[in-house]
Amino acid sequence: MKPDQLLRDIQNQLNDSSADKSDLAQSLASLNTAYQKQSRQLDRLTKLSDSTEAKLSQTNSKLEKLLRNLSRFVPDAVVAVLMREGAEQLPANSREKITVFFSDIVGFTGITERLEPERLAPLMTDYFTQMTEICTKWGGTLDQFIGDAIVIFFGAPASHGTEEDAVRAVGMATDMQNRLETLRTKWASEGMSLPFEVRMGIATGYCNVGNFGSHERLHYTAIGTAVNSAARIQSLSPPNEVMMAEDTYMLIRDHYKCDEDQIVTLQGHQHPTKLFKLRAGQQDNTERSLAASADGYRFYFDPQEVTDKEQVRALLEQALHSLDQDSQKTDV
Amino acid sequence: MPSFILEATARTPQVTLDPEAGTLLLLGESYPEDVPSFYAEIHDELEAFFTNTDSALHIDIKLTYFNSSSARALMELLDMLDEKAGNGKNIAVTWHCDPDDDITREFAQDISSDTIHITVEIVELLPEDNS
Repeated sequence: MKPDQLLRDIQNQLNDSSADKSDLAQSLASLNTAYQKQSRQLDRLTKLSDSTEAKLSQTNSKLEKLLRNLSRFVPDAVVAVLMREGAEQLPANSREKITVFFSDIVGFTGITERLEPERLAPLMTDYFTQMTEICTKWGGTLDQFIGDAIVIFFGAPASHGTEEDAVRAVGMATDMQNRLETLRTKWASEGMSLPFEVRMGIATGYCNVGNFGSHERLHYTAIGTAVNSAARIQSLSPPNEVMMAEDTYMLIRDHYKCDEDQIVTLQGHQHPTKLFKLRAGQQDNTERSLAASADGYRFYFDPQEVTDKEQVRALLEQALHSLDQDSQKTDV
Repeated sequence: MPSFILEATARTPQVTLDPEAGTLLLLGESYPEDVPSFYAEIHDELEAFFTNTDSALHIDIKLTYFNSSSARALMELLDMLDEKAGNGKNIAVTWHCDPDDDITREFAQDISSDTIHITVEIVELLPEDNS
């Protein structure tokens, strides 16, 4: 019998002066049993709820770890869509106007032959990490690393408009070249004597974008003439320069200064097209690291990497102090 | 008495009460939007079964997930069955638990310690019931 029924029985027995006290005692004992059972059931439900919560927390931790790892293999923009809406909602293969970036290290084979593997691996990790960070900052979709080459596109899965996508691609390339200048000084200070020069090419055009591959293994990528053009333009770019197709230049000319370079016939194009070279020295305002060198002076400073600000401040003051003392000696 | 069947949905398990075979099966996941109504329907069908027949009833619980409200409803269902068994009905319960699911197994063990007239046998859930 349920506790509420037992309570009603007890109430009736109390109201009935002729009721047998032994019946009342029996009802009270039954009520006590029912109460204890409900108490056990409550404990059981609490335990179940706590266990489920703990399991959920473990699952969440695993999911977060998986997500962090996933972001290392799949473009962030794609991960965002997967998280928000699921794989079914990834846009089906579609034709989009995108801006494609392609970079390659000059003479990489020679570098790999001359550098010890234990030196090459951290160098490449440093390079790819820094370039990926800049790609993320500008909202690019990191398509793939092909050996030492990097392929990035703007305009899919999310687009900010064709012009803005192109401006972002060129801004990212500028940012990368500036960061590379800083990195070269850093690597030189660490004893790296080989040149580390990078060519970059950019092209804009319609591509098929989406998940290509088998049902088991898909790769979100872009296929089309703009990809081939970006690779070809990169190969024509001088070391440490950014070259772009006329289609890209027309979109970014109000934002970045460029110089007309050469006329070529790109694969998939019926007519020759002009290539434009991005004028060097155009800083991205968000770049805060500094690098410079002169006789008796080699300077590399990246505030994002500084862990001990006091130590850096003391070193700078010591350098200024030494400079002042030398100046006074010269003046005398 | 015809069979009572509820097809499984994303939130509710498959429920099959076969009066002729004397079996009740709960299979799938249980987190209905309206838990009391969902289990009340099963409760009513069982009451009708016990009113109409004296046949034995074997219950198979194959739930891979159930929320707290469903757990409470299951406890009430087993209470009712225990009471029926106390009144002479022949009832047996087999709870199929995923070997990796400690939570469900402990819950089933806990419940079985509270029943007086029926025994709850706990067995391993087969892979085909967990898909």
